[in-house]
Amino acid sequence: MYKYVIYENGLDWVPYVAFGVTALVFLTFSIHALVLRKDRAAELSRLPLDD
Amino acid sequence: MTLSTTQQTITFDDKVVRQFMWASIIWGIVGMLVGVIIASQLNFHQLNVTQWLSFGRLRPLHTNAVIFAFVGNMMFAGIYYSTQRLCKARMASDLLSKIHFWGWQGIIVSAAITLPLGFTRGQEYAELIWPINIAVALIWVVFAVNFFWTLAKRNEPSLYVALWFYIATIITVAMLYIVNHISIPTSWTHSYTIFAGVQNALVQWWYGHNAVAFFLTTPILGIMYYFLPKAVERPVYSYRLSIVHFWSLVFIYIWAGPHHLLNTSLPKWLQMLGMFFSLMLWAPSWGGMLNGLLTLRGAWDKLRTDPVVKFFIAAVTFYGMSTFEGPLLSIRAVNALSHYSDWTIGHVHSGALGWNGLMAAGMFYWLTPRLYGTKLHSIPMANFHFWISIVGILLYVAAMWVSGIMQGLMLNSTNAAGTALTYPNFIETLTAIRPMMAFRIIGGAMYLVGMGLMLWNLWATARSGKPVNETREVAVIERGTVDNMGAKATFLADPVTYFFGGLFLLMGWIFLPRGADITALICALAFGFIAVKKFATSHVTWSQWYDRLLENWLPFTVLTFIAVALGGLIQIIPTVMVNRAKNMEDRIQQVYTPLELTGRDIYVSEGCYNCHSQMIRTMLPDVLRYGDYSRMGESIYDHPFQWGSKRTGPDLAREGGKYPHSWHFNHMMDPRSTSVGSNMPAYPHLFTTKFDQKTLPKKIAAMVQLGVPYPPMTAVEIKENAIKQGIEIVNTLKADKLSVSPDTQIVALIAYLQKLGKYDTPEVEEKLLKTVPELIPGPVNPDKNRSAAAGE
Repeated sequence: MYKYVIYENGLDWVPYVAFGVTALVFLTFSIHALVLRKDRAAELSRLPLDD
Repeated sequence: MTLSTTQQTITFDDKVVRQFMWASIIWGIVGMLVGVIIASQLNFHQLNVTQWLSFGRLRPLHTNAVIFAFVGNMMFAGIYYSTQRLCKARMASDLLSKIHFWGWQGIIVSAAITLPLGFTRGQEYAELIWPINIAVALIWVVFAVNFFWTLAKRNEPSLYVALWFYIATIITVAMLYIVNHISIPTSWTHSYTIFAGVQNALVQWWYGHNAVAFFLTTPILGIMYYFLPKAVERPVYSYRLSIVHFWSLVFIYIWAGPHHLLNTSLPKWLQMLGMFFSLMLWAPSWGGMLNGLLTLRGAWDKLRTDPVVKFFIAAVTFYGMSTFEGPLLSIRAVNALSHYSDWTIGHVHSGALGWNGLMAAGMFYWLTPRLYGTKLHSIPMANFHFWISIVGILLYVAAMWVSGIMQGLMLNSTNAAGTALTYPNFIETLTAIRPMMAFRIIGGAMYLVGMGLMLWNLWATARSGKPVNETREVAVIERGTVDNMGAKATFLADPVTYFFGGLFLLMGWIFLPRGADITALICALAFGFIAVKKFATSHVTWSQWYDRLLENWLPFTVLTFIAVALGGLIQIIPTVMVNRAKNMEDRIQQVYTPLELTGRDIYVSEGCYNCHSQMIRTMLPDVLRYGDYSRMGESIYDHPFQWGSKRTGPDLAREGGKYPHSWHFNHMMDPRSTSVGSNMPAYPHLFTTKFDQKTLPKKIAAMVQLGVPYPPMTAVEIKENAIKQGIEIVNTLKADKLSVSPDTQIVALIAYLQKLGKYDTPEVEEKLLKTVPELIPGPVNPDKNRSAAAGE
């Protein structure tokens, strides 16, 4: 297994997989941010001003 | 959210905020003063007045002071102030706060003493010796316990975005610092890192880059998300954007370290990974910057009147500029020009002075009147501080851009056929950038004056009031209504299981043998399809899971840790496996003799790596100038690696045998006697100071423990070997009518320099390995090796 990874260009695929994983994270949280209720977002964003 | 009707009066611990604030300003002035001194030393070599104040020893003091003392204390001041307010709770333990403050100052003082004495680990921003490393780890744990304990007893159910950034900072810095500082001590002041060569380079820049990311960026972003809305009295522009900003930033940042090693002998897939992720960083960084700038919507008039807003907005703008420049410099073609040049120095300072420094100033001007119950002493003086800082930064950064691009172009310039260098003499390129190096002093000095004015202004403000600890009525949260999310609810939720399931299958695509890898890929795609379908039907449940996560600090912290650990593991594990002699292509570094190893320690101790690299990149101009490009195997026994990150002097990877011993002798005594126009300091103390023979056997034993194939030698044989080689060098010097004692540091350093670039074939190394009894784990006493060998 490692022989393939180290010597046979197996690792060339790592950047693409890493990109895919990152895109997944980015998409997941973008979707979450988009579906977040407006009143909840407003409430959370006011926390520092809640003196 | 469930709040009880019970009200509680709490008094915040603002004393610790004041302490960290003053410490930050004072250490900031010290660190920047050292910066101006070392910038002057580059122009006037005569300013290297003693060995303790030479450039190579002071430069680490400057970087460590600015990063850990100035920004570190500033970060702690901001975190202690905002965490208490965002949690509506006093810090959990006053004792831990005190230990944190005084422990951190003790660490800074220890660094300020040991670095000029030449006690260093020889890795950038990781120079501090191992006892101080342990102190840093312990004090960081104290800080973490105090912080998370405060989260646990908070009276606000939801964790505001600033707290997410603080959480990411605390856990990631702990992980990076511990891994990068694992060493084997050879004395109280010296140790060898367990990593060598390419592996060391990768781990170091995984740490080094993320010291910038998670020490200089994420905590300051947290501070931005708290203090900027406070200063402009309106909420952050987009809370939704802050969610995307946080998760994409912490997830992407951790992968980008290899961009510090482009065009080197680092495996290409890692270089591509570093470049790839650095470019992706543009998106979250600019998202964060825009979120900060647009928070000012409808209040842009404050820019004219309020110095705090001026500092914050300029800082966020510098954040945007430097995070645009960083990915740009990570493009391999651009990096070929910029790396090892002043361009990188300019980039770093636009971040440190512009982003960190101006955020610190804005925060301190906002905090001081509130911490002392008074008004700011002088708004015009704060405005003057702002403008002198801006002009200073621009002068500094522009000078470094011009200098870096000019020297980069000159060093890389060849004739049309690509067969000869246009500027073969390195000094010629150095002379060309001298005026720019002078402008840097002026820019840095202007910034320093601004810092002095801030100290005076804030001191006068503090004297006009008295220390105030804010008291507030808060609604006490009912225990059990938050922080009640168990492991099952956290990890067996759909978002987590689908994410890690998909990731697991993707890993199978890479690591499984042919046939099985395609199966894994098909499964991953099918899994992704199911996840999308599931999300379409139950996205509300997914959102509820995340909302719950925001009310549960421990699961949130664990998931953040997984996000940051993932990138490091994927990069480092394959490199740990590859960095073995049997995997090297065609060359294996020759093992250092005891005297050469001693010379190497002197090289590291004097901070030569601050100006000289040991890495000939896979680029034609580098090869024409310095010789055949460096191979991975040629630094396989270098604990620590010395590839460097800046060339104020030429690369030394193939220095061995280039010049006679007498040349090095004269060069170290007076660099200008051999290299006219050089700005290198002279090292006369090396000619009178004896090298350390006492700990040499322990050093060899540590090397054996780390896998370096030394033949069995007793302590006496090791010392004899060193002196014998010293006598050979001295005899050669005598032929050139130069005399020195064979046990002096200069002799050891010459031995080391003459060894640079010497290599064997892997077959020779394999034979050598067979003669060594036991490498890992090995004894610390080399005499034990001897008996083990005799017994076989």
